[in-house]
Amino acid sequence: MQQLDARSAAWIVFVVIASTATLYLPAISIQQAQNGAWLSPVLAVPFGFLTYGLIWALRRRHPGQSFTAIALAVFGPVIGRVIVILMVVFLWQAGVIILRQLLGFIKTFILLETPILVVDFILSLAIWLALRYRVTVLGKVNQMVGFTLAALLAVLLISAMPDIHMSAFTPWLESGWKGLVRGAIVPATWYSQIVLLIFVWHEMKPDETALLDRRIIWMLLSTTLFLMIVNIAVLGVLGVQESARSGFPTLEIARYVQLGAGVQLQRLDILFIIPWILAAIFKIIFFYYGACAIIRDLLQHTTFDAFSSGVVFSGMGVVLVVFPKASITSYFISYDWPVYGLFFQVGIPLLLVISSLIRSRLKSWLSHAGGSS
Amino acid sequence: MLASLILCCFALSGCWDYKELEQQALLTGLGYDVGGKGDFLVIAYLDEQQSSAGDKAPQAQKAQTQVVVVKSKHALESYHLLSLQIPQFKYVSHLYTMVFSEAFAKSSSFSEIVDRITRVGAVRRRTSLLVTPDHVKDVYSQRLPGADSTARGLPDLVLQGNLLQLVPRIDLNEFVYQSTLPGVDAMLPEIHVVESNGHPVLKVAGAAVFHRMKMVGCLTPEDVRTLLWLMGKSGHSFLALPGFQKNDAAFFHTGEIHTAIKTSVRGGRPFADVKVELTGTLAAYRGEHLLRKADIKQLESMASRVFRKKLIRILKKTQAMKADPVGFGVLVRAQVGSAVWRKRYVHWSEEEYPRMTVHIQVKTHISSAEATDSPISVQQTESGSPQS
Repeated sequence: MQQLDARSAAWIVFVVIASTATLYLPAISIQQAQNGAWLSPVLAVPFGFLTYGLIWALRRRHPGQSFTAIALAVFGPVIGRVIVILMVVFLWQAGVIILRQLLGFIKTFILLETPILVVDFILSLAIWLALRYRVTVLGKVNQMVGFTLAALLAVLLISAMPDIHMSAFTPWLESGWKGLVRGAIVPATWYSQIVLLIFVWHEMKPDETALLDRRIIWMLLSTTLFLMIVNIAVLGVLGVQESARSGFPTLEIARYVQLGAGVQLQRLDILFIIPWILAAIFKIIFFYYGACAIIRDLLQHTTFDAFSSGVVFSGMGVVLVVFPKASITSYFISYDWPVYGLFFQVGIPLLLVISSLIRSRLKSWLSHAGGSS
Repeated sequence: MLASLILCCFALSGCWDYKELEQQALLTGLGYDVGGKGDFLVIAYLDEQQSSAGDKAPQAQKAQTQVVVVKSKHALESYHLLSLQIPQFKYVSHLYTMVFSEAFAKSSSFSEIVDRITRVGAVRRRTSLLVTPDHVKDVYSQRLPGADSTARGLPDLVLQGNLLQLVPRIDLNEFVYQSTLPGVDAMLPEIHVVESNGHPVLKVAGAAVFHRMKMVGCLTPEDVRTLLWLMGKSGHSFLALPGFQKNDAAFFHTGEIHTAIKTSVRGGRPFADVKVELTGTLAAYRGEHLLRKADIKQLESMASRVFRKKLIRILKKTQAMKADPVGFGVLVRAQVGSAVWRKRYVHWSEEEYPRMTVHIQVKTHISSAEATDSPISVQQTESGSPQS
């Protein structure tokens, strides 16, 4: 049986964090942290390490077990089921929110006159078809998509360097440390989305476990550096006010880039748009994959082909009813999402680790007490 | 594989977003002016695509250029009214130039338009912005030699003017950046319609100075050159110097310019120390005697004095204009921090910059002194013909 390798898992981390962050992070962080926003990823990355630490602890305590099995073992059959069902709802609606952001982007910049329902249907169909493949296939394709996004965006950002104004970064930390912390809250929720690794964990090569830890740590640090460069380029070229006002400042940079003096190549932004759309689709796929994996384990099926269509196409229907306008998602992500997202992405794994520890201590204490009596 | 093929659909225009060539109008230039009765005029410079469908000749596919003028009471509305006159779908992603009349640039509608166009995602941020003291329609109706259209040729004209340090080079993004950064005021190049050999021609020279996205004054090409030097921007320009005697003249060709500006705040009052190091060559000299090393030293101090005078003049001019295009305020803000800035210096250009004291030091170095030790001597022969 084919299993997911450490490299593919590390690229899942990159795509999950960087796909939405490259486009939405600069505006959100700059609104709060102003010219100190380029440091926001540094303050947010500890949440990535914390989340990884939690799922690492769960893996150590419950080797080879799926998230559903761990939850049922730790919380018992009733509370465990409630927790995993809540997690399914969370993962599904997180996928729906990203889908809405993606739809809004495509509708605004590419397919202006195409009915949004058509775009919604095509995207959902592609996601559903992708979910029919094994996670090893998804991981490999995602690796290509992630690398393409990183490489092309890096080229664009390097080309934007001559247009960077150093005056945009003075005075040092314009909005102070408080602003910097506020600007790091939303990216912290993106970093903690690496919780998705927990759903592919038991499908990984067991001999690459040690390698995986190293790769994940490097990928988290590389992603942080990458996001810092994105923020520096956005701040330096557009300035604080214009970056905060613009909905998609990274796209503005991609459009502004000029490859050499006098080279009039237009629409270079397509080098960013295509890999970004693919990366966002893969992010949705991994969220839906998590939801389907829980249902599969809960219903004790071997595959999730039977209900993946339900997960995907219910999302397709709900997305336009709950979020009729894309601007609602921006507000939701800036103000409501951090608490809500962190509860499921960090809070539940933390609860699992603590409960698992207490349970094992209690068990050993009881066995010790029983033995001595 | 199937999923990848479906995703490829996004690279296509689809059934709804497909536009035939003849349905497209490329907006390459846009102008705003104020009409006789205070109406706003929007002038669109369009490259209308013509399809070769049905024609066998390859040259049948060509772009036709036309100028469309729309009048309205409100500047924002006037752009939308364009749609009523142009049946094709307007693409703004090829907008090369935007020209504003001085009357329009001085109105509050200017900032509304800049705000609006930067919100339209497809607009190029590399678009060149220009201001004209003439009518915008007159600018767009002139032909530029060698350029396939005036709107496309204007950015190159600005580039040439910038190389000669006659105009600042600034695009839409740069203008918005400078306008939104506290402590600096933006400039835009000026374009004029002038008479040459009895024909009107376009000429870029000078700059319009803005404060809070409203034009507050004009700078001559000489002022622009001095400002660019002050900002440490080198270029190919000459500085005319008086010689040692009445009929003498020297031309100093500027090479590298290094400017160091240091600001300080003492007793709440801003001060600035400007040190300029100018390196160049003596491009031409007309005088009674040959130049020696001592003369070169004298010319260097002469150039420093002339240049210092020019700097003082431009600083006084911008202080009177209540606009800080150099960006002394940016340095002060970096020094005092944003909290003090917001409290005390928020009206920098209007209140603080005009009373700022600037100390200027200029050091000039003429690098081709060796060449002038043995200059070309022209002697009169007996027959009277010149011989070198």
